[in-house]
Amino acid sequence: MEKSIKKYWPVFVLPTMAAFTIGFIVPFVYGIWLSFCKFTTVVDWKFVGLRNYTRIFVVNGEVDTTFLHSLWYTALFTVVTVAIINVAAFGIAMALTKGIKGTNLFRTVFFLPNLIGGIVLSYVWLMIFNSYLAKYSKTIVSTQWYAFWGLVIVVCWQQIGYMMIIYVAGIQNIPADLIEAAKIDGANNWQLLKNVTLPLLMPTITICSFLTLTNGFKLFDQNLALTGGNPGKMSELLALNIYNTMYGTTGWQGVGQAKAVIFFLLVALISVIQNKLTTSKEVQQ
Amino acid sequence: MAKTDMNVSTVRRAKHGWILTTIFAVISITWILPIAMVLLNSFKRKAYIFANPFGISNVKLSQGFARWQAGISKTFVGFMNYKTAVKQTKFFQSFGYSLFITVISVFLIILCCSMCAWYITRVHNAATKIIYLLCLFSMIVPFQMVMFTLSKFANILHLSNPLGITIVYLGFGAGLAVFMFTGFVKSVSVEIEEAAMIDGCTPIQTYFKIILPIMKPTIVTVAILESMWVWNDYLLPSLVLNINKYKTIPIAVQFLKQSHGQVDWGAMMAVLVLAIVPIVVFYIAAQKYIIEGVLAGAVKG
Amino acid sequence: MKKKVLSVVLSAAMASAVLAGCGSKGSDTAATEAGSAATEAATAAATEAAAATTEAADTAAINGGRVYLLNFKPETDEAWQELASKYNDLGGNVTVLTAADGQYATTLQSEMAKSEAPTIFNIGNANDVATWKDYLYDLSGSDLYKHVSDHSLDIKSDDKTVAIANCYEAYGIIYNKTLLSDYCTLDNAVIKSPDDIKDFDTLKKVADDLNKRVDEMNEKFGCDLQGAFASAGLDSGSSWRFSGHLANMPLYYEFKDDGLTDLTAGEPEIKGTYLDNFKKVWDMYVQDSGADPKTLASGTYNAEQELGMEQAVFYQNGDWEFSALTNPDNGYLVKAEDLDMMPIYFGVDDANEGLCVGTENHWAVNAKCSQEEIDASLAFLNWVITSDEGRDAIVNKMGLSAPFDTFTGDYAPKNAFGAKASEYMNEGKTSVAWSFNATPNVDDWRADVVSALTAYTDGSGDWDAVKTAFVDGWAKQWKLAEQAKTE
Repeated sequence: MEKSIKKYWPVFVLPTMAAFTIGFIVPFVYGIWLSFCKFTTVVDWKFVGLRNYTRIFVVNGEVDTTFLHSLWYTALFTVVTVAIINVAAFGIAMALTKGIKGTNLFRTVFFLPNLIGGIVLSYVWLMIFNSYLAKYSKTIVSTQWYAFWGLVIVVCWQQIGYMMIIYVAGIQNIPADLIEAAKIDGANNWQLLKNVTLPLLMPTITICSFLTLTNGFKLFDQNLALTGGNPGKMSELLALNIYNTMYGTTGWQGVGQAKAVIFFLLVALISVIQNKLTTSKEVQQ
Repeated sequence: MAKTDMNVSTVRRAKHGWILTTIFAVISITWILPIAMVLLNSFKRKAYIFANPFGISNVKLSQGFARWQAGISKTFVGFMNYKTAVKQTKFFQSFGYSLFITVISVFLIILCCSMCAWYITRVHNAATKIIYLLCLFSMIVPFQMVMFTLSKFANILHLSNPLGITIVYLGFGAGLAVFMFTGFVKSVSVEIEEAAMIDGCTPIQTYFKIILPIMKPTIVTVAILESMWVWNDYLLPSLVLNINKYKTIPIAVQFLKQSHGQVDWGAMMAVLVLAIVPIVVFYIAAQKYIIEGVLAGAVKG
Repeated sequence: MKKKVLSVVLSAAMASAVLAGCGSKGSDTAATEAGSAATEAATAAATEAAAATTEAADTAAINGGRVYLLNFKPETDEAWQELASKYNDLGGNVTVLTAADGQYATTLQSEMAKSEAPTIFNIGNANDVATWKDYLYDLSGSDLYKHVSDHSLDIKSDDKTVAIANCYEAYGIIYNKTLLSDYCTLDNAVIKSPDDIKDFDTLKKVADDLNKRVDEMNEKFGCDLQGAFASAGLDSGSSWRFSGHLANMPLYYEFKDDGLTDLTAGEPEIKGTYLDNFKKVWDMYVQDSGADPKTLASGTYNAEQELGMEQAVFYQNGDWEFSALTNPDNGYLVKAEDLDMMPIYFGVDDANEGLCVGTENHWAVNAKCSQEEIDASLAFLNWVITSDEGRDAIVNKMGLSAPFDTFTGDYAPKNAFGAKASEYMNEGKTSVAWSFNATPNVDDWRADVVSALTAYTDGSGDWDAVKTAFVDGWAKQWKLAEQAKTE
């Protein structure tokens, strides 16, 4: 059979691969190359070696901390959102698997924000935040910490429902007889959670942690629409920092591209670690 | 895949269920409050949105009922904000572009990627292996890495229009789709296909008659995931499309702010409502599929 | 020179008042016939002029050579496409492409690299001239050049006229004349008539007093005032009014002191001589307004609306606001006859200061094209400014004020604020040049200034930081921009 299928590659593989080449392979390879060039359009590049990479940190002999600031701001943001989203989603999932009345309705409501795009969602919250903060003569961009918690709230509101769905599925996958057996053995609720539920949920926890981790790292739309990086670039997450470098200043596209390469390496690193962890966990079970 | 139905057996039913129900009812209401606020304010006169965001009258009730009532009619403007918003953002046009781009892109992704996935699973050679690995690889590359080059190439290749961008989406969305379809095809036994081929079906006939129908669950999953992505995507279309002519809904919303002046928050509220309503309707209609799709995507991806 | 010629054009503008200016992105071309204050004489003169120019249109020959115009203003794209197809119906061969917002420079770069390069493109300022030096055709002898009514807006390079302005804009302090006159009738009012405001000190006194007495005003005249000035929003939708337009004032006076021949060309380093004046004006905007200084960056204010709904009397902005304020669809309370504009009195040379007049829109013709293409391009541009179709498109569809002698009568610029610019010139005032066009890495420089200004205004920073961002930031960005150009 393989042979007869084989010659049909122009029908089966070509369309996808042609688009994949245009949409991914060429831009990716060319993107790496351009990170070593000075360019304003894709046709007028000039090779400059590692200069773009050094310029991320040092400009005209002066240390430029904006990228590093973005980096730790993003890291902190990611840690905080991963923690809040997973704890909250897990808590809600536990409650919603107890079979209380209205479970389906609650689930529907919690999941809803996730379907609304980041841009639209952020303007909804921008209105709420600023009208509330106005009472205290503050705005969401008064300091980088207002911006930070604003972003955290928006992202949590959006993602808790999504992660909750995954946790619910995980919890329901725990065999009921295991729980019963533990109860008969006299385990209290806390012991049940600590010794039965959580260990059995490890694969789900891993999935959710990494989903929230990469989501936090790659966050762009909400950042652009809610704070725009204000006050003065202080709330710029990595993705927005790269975008602003690339499109904000003429002559800096190369530096933007170099930042993008570093960003890619970071995201790739997280993905590889995740992959390692999930596979090893699967083997254990 | 896990069972998502939540009407769990009575064994696990909590003793004091009504307490939890009450708590969750309150939380749920809080959860959708932001959207309700936007809905309320979308009918208000612009000046009163920030002056009095949570109230319905610009006069306090303590100042007398008649004045309070008069305040209500001063605060609300009916559908005026909607009129402005639709005109300023050309909302229905944007809605059309968003719908067109999403439908065509998702259709292309499903058709092309499922075909590609079947082929690379059934044909074993170096090329198909490389394709599979490239697809896996593309899933970990953030968009920022390719945004500049991708948008420039799309421009050079004249893909800066609603039809052209679907090809870009096919290309950039191929990784996840091929990965998910491959996972499914691997679990399907080859025997039915072989039987069909022996009966004289060409691979193309076999694909459409046998493979495509049994792939339905995965198609739904991929369709849901890719639709959610394409419909809400801002950065890719804003860089690839000729945005003077074609604005998708997220771009129209963002441009309402960026235009050379201050935000018209009345129009902003209205356009947010207009952007959210279709999603809510769609969600309520297809809730089951959406949740199953998300779940399957999360567990496999 | 600028004064004289421009005033000729602008006096025609007074005939009728409609909308829009170059930069008004939101301005739909919904032509609103606002003040029909056209005098008999003006109408008569206009008819005469229109007749004369129709003749000119007939003589403008259609040239079938290839023309490719790379348009700078996204909001005019539709009108340009329509115009091109009309010209092509007459035998022309014109393509118009419009670059996406903020993408003009990069689009131009990549289009110029192609074999079918643009034949007509936009030059914004002296910086662009440096970049495109080899591509600029000398327009001095062209018909287009002969129709220019204000050669001070031309861009010159080595005695050649390399780019010609196709529209101009004016900005200053928009004010509600009716409310200000009402104020003058109050007891102990600082002034007796709006015309008494002739310098910064008077403006400041009026604003201070008015701001204190808003309740009295509201009680007496039934308005809804919250402050003298509209909110000085520091969000991205409004901060350019200060980091761009207001910042222009100290730049302009400094460049003038330094004897720059081209006041829009700029210098590598600035001293910030007039930053104290800048501070005084800014403090006035903030203190004499109903907005909370701590929340100016929130984006919750809408200054246009405040002026429109009679919640403020003063509002610094440009002539493009005229259409928005008078468009009945917006439902504002102010009427065309309430609106007027005064210079941004800066306490330096108030007696001679007019409105800020300038443009970032100049046509340049690509010298690297074949002579046939160059001739065809010049013929097309001449057709645009002389034919009825072209002039109708520019004035009514694009809503621009064009500095050509063919734009009279029905095609006179239709903007009351633009007309005001000429009135000041007739009084012998000097229009303030758009020196802010020289700003290096304009987005970055402004972002830093705005962020320092925000900190100063909400009390978390001091004025020195604003000075640093303004002066040191300028030198730093200038250096970076130069570096990017030469590498």
